[in-house]
Amino acid sequence: MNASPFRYFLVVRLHAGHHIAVLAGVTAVGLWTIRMSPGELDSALGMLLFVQMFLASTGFLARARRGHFDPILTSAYGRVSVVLWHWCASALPGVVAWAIVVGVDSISGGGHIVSAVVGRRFLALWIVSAIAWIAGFALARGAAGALWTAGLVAVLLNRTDLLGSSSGAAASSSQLLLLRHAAAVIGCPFLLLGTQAPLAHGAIAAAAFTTSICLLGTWRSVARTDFYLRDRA
Amino acid sequence: MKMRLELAAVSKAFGAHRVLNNAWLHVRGGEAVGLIGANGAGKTTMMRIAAGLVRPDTGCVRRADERLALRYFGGETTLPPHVTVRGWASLFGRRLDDRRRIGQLSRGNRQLLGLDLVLSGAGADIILLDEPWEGLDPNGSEWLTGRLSRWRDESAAVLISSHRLHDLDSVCTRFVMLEDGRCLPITAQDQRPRVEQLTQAFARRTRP
Repeated sequence: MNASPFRYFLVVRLHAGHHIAVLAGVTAVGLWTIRMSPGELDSALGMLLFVQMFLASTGFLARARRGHFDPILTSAYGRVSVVLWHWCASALPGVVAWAIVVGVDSISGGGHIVSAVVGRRFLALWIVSAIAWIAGFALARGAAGALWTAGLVAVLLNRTDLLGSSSGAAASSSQLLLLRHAAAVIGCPFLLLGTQAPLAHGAIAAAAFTTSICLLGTWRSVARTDFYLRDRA
Repeated sequence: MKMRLELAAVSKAFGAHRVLNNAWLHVRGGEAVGLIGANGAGKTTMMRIAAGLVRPDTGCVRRADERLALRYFGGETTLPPHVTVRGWASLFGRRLDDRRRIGQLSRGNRQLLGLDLVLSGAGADIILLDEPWEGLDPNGSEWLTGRLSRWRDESAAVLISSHRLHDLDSVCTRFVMLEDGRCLPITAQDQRPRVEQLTQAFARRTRP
């Protein structure tokens, strides 16, 4: 087989057509939002993040065990490389939509491009793209997004204080609170949008580090994974 | 000819079910080995271990050179049904002007498409095929037999798992029976036609 892993995953199409259609619609709504209200970039990005929770959750293992990835997994490319490109292809539509919205906002004088490309906003995209893919690795397509949404709805309904801001200023410097903030950022990356959430830099760095470690761990675990045929083994 | 692929003392269990138990198998360049065995004997698992898709619990898979080009086809059910024929062919460097989805093809045509692409082009050192004749009509079977014979004659190492003893006999130079998780060679013992010997060996070893 001649194709690179990235091209392979583009051809075998990791995303459902209706997911891409929803993304296109949300992107259009986002562009309309920043056109009508130039300060509302985070509203547009928040919608994209939500869609990316589903889009990035493409599910590697289920399709690999149907044999759909046999040609690329038996090619000269290593397993880790194949899985790395699978993640890239999974995240790609959301990243492209993100770039379009941020680019248009920047052209129209929004001034958030640094944060959206390398700062807190970009970290939100990174976390969603990574965690949705990791959580959905062994699940059906989009399942991780559905589970994540259910979790966030449960938190919302319970009115859980994710950041523990009611526990007082004295405790805010504690390591426990830092970890709590990091966990809150990973569980709800929407906290990185806007300016309301009082997040310590250490907590944000810890969230980025933990997400990266989880991603690396998942890539490495593939070396020990069996791709037997689910219906024939 | 040199050994191209070797499965050495391979064991594999799925939960409590031990599929392979200290199985040895090797394939040299220029030979085609037929792997036969009863349903559920572990042929598909063995083929996927040989292809590097499943890791053995113990034992190892050795290739003469890690750079050897390996081609594996696990059957038409492994083709992604929503991908177009044209798109799938492009991954193998072929141009086919068929915009239908693979899932819209008949079973035989899916099998033929998968085999045609895997066996096309040049430079295959190791070829692993799982039940390749399944679903093919006589013309397709004849085409496949010819193609495999050509690859074998061009020094590829060919390992084929199949129940189709007549078709295997027309391609393979050697046969191995997978029984109780082990690979047992089937050797010619008299002057009877080989298919008859294979049939008898299969019946003798798989009879409950």
